[in-house]
Amino acid sequence: MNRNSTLFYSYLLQICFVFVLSFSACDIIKEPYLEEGGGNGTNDSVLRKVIIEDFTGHLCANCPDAHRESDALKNIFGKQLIVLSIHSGDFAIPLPAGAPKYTYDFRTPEGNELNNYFQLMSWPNGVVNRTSYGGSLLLNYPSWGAAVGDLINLPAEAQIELDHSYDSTTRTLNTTISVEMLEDMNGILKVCAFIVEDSIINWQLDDKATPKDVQFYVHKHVLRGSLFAPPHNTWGKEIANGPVSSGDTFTLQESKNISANYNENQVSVIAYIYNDVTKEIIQAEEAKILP
Amino acid sequence: MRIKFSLLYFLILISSASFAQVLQNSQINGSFQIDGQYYQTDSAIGAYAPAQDIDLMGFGNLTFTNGPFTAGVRYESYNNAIVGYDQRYNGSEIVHRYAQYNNDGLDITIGNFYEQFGNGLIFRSYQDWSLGYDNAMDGIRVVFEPTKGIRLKGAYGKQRFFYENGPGIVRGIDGEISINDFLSNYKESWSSKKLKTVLGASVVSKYQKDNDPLRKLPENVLAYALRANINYNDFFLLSEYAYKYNDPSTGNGLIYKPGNALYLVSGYSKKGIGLTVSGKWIDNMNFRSDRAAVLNDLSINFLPALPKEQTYRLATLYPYGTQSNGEFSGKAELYYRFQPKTKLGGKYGTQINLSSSMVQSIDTDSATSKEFGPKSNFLTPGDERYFRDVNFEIEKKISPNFKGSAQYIYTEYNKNVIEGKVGADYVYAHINIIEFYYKINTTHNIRTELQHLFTDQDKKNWVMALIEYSIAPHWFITAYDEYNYGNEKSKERIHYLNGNIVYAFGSNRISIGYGKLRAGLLCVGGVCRVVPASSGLTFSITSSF
Repeated sequence: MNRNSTLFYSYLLQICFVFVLSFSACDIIKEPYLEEGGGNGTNDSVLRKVIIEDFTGHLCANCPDAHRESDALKNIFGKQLIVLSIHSGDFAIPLPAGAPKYTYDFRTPEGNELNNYFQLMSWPNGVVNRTSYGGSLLLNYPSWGAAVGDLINLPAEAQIELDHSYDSTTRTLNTTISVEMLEDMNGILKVCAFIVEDSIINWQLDDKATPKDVQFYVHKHVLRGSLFAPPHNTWGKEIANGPVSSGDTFTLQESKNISANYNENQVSVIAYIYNDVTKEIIQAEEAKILP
Repeated sequence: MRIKFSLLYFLILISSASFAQVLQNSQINGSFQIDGQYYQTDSAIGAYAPAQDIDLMGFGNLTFTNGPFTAGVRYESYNNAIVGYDQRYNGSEIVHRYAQYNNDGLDITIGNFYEQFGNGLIFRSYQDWSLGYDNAMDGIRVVFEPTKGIRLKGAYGKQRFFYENGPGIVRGIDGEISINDFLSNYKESWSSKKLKTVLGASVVSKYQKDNDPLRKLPENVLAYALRANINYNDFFLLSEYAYKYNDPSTGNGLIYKPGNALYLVSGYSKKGIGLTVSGKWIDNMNFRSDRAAVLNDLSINFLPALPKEQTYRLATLYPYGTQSNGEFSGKAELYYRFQPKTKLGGKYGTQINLSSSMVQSIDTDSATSKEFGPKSNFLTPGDERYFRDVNFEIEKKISPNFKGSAQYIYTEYNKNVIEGKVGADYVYAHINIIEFYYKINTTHNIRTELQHLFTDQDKKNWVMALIEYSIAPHWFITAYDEYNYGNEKSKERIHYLNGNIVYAFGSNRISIGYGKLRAGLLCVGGVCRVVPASSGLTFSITSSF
């Protein structure tokens, strides 16, 4: 072997060595693909509850992936996790009346306003407690679990109780929202509450289904509107502007007529307290209007 | 006290002299661009002025060079980003800074840098102002050429994500050997051989922590690529194969299936004729440094689109955007020039360009595994057509002052897939374009374009006319009108009238335009952004030194 060949093979060997080293930076995952165990899923009274606001649309083929993700997370985190499906944006626009499918309009003024506020550019997308995770407020569904996991075990800073009185005949809902602060705080605090309907059967495009147009898709925890009348419908009512102390309580009473188009057995109220400056949600609660 | 002053004076003198010497051997270059828009609401075209009425965005690059040393900064300001650009850019900051030393075959960069391995199938870091795209690396890059014909590259860092860095770490190496150049170190005759071969291989790995409470995610995802470029006389072959290990992400629906890609371009070229045939296979090659990223965020790789990138207005109505989850495409291009003083060439010669491309889905088994998705059949096209085009262009100089071109474009466009608009029409469009240049005298020129698009789908037929008057070397005055005369809704039969004046002097360019801009999709190399309709005044300044 002459000197030239030696040099050539020396370079080749160096290159191969670096490549072999590089291959060590690879994790190949084998079954089981799911983590074992999970969160506590308990329903103790003063645990922090976390809301995922899932911006979705019936014509969004990838949105069911996000729905399945939130379902799976619910299985882990139990009632500590509250999911709100907000149909908004391009993929929520119904097809014209007379079209064979996707004519139902799931959109709401509140959902549209939140969609614009968070500057949605793609769907599915979501916010978790309206709190940044990894520098981003808007999170795609693979990040939801980690973002929820970051928040859910923090001590609760407030407690919310919902007390409903619902008259099925007049379809009138009277709700009392009671908030008790568990920490001292300073800032503008607001309380908002949304009407949510679960298990609505209607069309949904699903990239993973065969056929992709699913006629009897179960739309879960769909935002139907606000418990509050305008102008408080999207951003709620102020309960404090300045320092508040642990033990302070606030009560709001609201009345709302529940549309005859809704299945009252599937209707809930989701209420939450948030900091109006940061928009971060401090605590949340969900309760059905009928036991 | 006097001693202290003398010492200070001496130090200033020395440092001034050194600084002056450094400056004497240095060079500073820069470039600037400012783009602005004043909006008017025009509900007829769906254009709505934002609350701030005016948006202005720009950048400035400064590069300092002294021998083997280079340093640079880039400042960007978006207040706010023009409608259609990602509003997450809003703000102002120095977004790019680096120092580079290149000497004796070793080139080291710290800070921000752009880099590409091979064709970019597993790594391409680049910036495109028109797309609002920038995935610059922030870290360390080393390029080493130990001897002629061998080049090694290493890149390590995080990617730019607006004003932050993405959560993942990207690291990769690339090795390339030009066989002829390398062997010519030992035997000079190798450099003149007809057969020239360049071989390359690259490995890229990304790291992102797994915080997912549901599933086990690979924190280190590796991709590799092998390539070979061969030239023989007038023939060339460019090839690259890439493979990516399990990489569940938003883009692929969190499946663990490995991805792969194959890119081939072969051709023949000599004076007056060129023929190119290309093919591309992509299966699950969405590769990002954040597994949750979507849109154009944090892409590590670049998957070039094969269809011709159109520049004429109506031809840009239906551009192709790469489908990173799966596509099988092919393209053939022919360029031929009929020489002057021949029957078809006429007095000045005639040039024809013919190209056609087709993009299909990839064939998959119907049996779907939840964790792996459908199994793909390598190099087998699926049934669904994403895109197809046929382009025929003829260019001819008719007299010393007059030349023109005519073009026919046939396009099939799967709007459903490319734009993600469910229930949208599959568009079949026929586009005719005629362009003329007339040289009035040595400085005054007129250019005209007439375009027509015929389709039974989407917004139906369009017509467009453009006239440009230029007074070299400073003035370019353009006016054009796009008219959607075929729209089924009479209210949407709208004239999109535009006027634009450009003044160029030295290396500076100022342009002001006024008019309506239709909504559409802007794609560069298969990477796209949505452009909403807008109306109002636009202005732009570019300058470099």
